[in-house]
Amino acid sequence: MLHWKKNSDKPEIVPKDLQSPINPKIILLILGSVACFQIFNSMEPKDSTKFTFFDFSYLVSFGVAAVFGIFISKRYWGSKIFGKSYLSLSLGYASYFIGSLVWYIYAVIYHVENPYPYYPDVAYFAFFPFVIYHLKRNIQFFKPKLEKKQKINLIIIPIVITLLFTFVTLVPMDITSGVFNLKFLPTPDHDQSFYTTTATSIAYVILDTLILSCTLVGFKIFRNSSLGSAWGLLLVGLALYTLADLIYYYFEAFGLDVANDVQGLWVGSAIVVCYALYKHKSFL
Amino acid sequence: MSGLDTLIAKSLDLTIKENLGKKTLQKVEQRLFEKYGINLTQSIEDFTKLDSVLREFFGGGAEGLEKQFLENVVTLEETKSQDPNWVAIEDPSLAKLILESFGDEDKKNIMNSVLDEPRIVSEILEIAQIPQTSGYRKVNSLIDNGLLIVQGHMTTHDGKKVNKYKSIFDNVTINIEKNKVVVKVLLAKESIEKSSIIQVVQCR
Repeated sequence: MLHWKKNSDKPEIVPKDLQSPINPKIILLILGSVACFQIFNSMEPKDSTKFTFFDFSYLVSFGVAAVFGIFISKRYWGSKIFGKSYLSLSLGYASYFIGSLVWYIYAVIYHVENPYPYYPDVAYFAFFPFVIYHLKRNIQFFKPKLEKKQKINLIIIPIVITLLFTFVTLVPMDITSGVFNLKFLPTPDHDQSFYTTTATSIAYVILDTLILSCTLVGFKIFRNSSLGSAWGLLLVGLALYTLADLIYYYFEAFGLDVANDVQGLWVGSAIVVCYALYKHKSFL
Repeated sequence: MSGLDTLIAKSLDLTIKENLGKKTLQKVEQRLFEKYGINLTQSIEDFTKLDSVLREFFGGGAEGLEKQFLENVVTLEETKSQDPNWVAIEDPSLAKLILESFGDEDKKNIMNSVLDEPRIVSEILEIAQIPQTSGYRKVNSLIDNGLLIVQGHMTTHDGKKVNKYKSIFDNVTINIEKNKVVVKVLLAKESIEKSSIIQVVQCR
């Protein structure tokens, strides 16, 4: 049976002319833009029946990520790995864009208050299989046989985060006296909508953490290479997305709409992913 | 370049282009030329150079890509009872080449004459009973396609060195399984030893 000799267990040093360093000015620009977005958005009075500039920016950011993905896919059109995987990623962002558009149509035009879980979630859920396909395709091709540690990371991260999320959502507790003086409270009577909303939220969390763990594995494969910065940015982008989703869905379980408070993270996530796609294209 | 490497070289640019796109192939070729002054096919002669360039681009992912090069041409038979050098030919064009070579009576006789030991061309033609004109053409065709490899040489009485040739395969089986022609070959030990691609891979 053949096995691959590890030619180099040490990381390869990528020559300067092949390095694709992340421009710190662009990172500062992204951080600054997101910070300004969030500050001004939080000052905006919450009215889900109005379509504000911030809602527009949020919507457009995902649309732009979809378009970036299409351009990358076109560059590698016809190729089994890059062509198909980047098309899938762009379809994922396009699905999210459609989901958000439908959400705003229901909220702003039909005045459906906080439509969740509702029809837009079909498109939101479609985001995940497309993104997972993109990640899986690349990982499977470039590293057909994952190491034990990578396999463990792939499974452990979603399980741990999902269990934690489920626990803090379903088990009422009082932490006002500090985390080490945690008190468990009696379970209140929740109505059916709480359990429906919570189940949907947990489903989102499972999928979010799955894409996060896949991206982490992908980043570790490519990190000591020219593609390392593109995958690093993708990891940051999807980590921001996951964080925003965790916060949003936790509060949604209790009927609290905190979309305005995490919109900046979603927008930031989409912008960082656009930068990741640009990095890939500019180098390879 | 070893015969096996010649066979695999043909699949190299096709594998990169098919999976990663023409632009990626161009970038890899450009980098090979910048760093070593060689093209993609020449990089097979010293596969560590190609490996080094692929690692610059893809890091740990280069392993998966290199495995694809080999698996697009051959897959290893994992039957414990069989010699681990038995491989199934996956590349349809290579399978066709082998079938055509064994389908041609003269080429088949040439290959048979050098299955066991290396011989010079004149010996091959004598054993195979092929006229010289057509014989030399067919031997050269087999060498160009990588099915005959140089193994050693002989010094003539006037001091000239003449190459000896041996078949890249020690044995070939051709079966039809589920309407598909399956070509399996037993790689010659020398073709494995000389292959720089296989040197990157360790056999267990």
